[in-house]
Amino acid sequence: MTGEDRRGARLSRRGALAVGGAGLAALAGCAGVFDRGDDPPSYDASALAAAVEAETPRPPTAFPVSVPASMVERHRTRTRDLLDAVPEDPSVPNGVVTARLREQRRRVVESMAEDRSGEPPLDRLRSWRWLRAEAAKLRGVYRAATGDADGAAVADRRDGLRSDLAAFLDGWEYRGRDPVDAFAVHRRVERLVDRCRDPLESGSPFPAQPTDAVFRVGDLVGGLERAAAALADATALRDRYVGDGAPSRRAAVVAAADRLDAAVARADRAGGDAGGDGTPPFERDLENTPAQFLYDVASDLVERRRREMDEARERGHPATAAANAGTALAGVEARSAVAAAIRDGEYGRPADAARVKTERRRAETALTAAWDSGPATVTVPLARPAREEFASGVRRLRSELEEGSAPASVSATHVNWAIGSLAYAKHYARATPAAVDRLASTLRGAATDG
Amino acid sequence: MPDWSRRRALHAAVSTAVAALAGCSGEASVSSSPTPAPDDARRVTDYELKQVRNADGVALFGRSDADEPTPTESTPGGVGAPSASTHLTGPEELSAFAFADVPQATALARFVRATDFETRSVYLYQRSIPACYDLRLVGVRRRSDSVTANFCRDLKPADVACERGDRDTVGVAVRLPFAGDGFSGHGTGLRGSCGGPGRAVGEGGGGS
Repeated sequence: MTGEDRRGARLSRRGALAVGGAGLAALAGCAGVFDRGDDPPSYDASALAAAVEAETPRPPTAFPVSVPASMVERHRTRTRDLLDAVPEDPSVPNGVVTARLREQRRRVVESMAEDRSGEPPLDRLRSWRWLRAEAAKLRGVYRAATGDADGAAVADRRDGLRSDLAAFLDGWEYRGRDPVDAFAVHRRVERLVDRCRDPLESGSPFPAQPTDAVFRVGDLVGGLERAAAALADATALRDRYVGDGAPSRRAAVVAAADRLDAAVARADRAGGDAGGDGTPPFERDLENTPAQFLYDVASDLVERRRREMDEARERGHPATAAANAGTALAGVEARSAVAAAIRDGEYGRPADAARVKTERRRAETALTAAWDSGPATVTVPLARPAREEFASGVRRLRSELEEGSAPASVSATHVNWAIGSLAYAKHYARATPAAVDRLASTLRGAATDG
Repeated sequence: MPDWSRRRALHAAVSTAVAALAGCSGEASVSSSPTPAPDDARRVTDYELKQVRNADGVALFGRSDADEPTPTESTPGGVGAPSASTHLTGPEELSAFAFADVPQATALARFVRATDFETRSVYLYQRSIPACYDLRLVGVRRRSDSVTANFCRDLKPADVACERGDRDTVGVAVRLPFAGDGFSGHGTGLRGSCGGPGRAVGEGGGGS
């Protein structure tokens, strides 16, 4: 099930709950009540296209650690070495395997030649890690197909990487001079540790007959290479940042995550924006309005981020847990603002396509302000849900406009969805600065207390 | 013309179309009768299996009274033999089918004709398959009035010579340990992977 499918499923559920208040809404004369006698309208496609023409704004890329060219170069050299182990025009008896080997090799070669100079440094590193793993997968498949796969060597490499990871974890103290910067850097390191850990924990057994399962061998070998590349980057970023004599910030980050978690729980209880049974705090028929989708997104984010916060704690990643708590905090605030707006009759049936443009402009302004509201190392991760929802709304509408032979009009469902997404991006982004401030001050306070 | 009831003729036609649509990914399982509750399905273990493979892609069998390609010719357009399946419950049904004049079809026909339909019935299936892939019977399930055979498809080992674009025909006959009285439907399931060559998860059953 795709994310949009899941969203659709939720939409139905919550939509049904919200619609439960339809009769009351009609009596109360709430604005925005959809007249069931009308067919849902459609909207002018050219006006909508103009509204979603511009790209989704890009966040600032400030990061406390510079990425030297040598880090990228190591990945490039390794990728080239792996690729060189596979002939330019590989051929094995099985024609399908041959075709896939050739196709995979061609894709790796083409990807290596892409110009990545415009990518933010951390994104460039990620691209090269992926390429390196793809090249390793290719070599693994080729070796298995030609009878050269060595299961013992693969097992040795996995054991070696597990030992390397354990050694890394032993010496990882979340050191850093500034607690907020330390949070940002070590959150990145946590993600790299996950990338390393996953293939080491989830790899299937090496096949007894490698020629019978060449792509499984490729997946295993590629996974180990991905783990090695991630661990190398995690180590390099940590070591470049830490320097000599920087204090451990682990306790401060753990304490900050705990305090923010408690703050989220309090805000969630105090907000009263959704009853325990998910009943919306308003009586209004939301069917066929942007409000229907908007409230669904607003309710879902808080639940999801709190769940992810718990998962991060279980993995022993307090910086990720703290970031998720920060987003959940902004999410609670955004949900309150959304509920109040819906209660006031906003986000009813849009009069025309211009509403999309208006909502987009407001969301963009709020998002930019959120990014500028503090250190980018904190504002960017905390504002991410706003950017994702912004991008989702734009993408959905674009995809509808590009569907088939350039439609002259777009149905209300897609327009409502886009407006709901952009409106959520706006409300969430407006709630971000306070959450940024709370997270930063909690980190600093916890560092002082410690 | 053999005693080929309208119900059974419709049943065979539906099954043929469904088998063709089953595709190579995911799992398809259908029956021409209403789908019973899952716990109604029982695994059949003591069947006998005959599986053949024709490298020229010819149709191994077909309805002799239907407007279909001559069994010894492959379907025009390079898509291989048409998929077909049926649950043979008696000799009169068997006589409605013609088998191609190739060794694999002959072997299949011999196996089917040797069945004692008083106590047994036969699920018969053919499918075009890319030359570099294997088809395996995963298992057979029986409900009160229908039977379903589930298959998986996997890439052949890398050191087995095959051409990417070629197509073979696989024929399967499963001799089931029960007569076909009271059965009104059958289904075919196909999933795109067996979990790796040599690792098809069988549900039991014999072979021949």
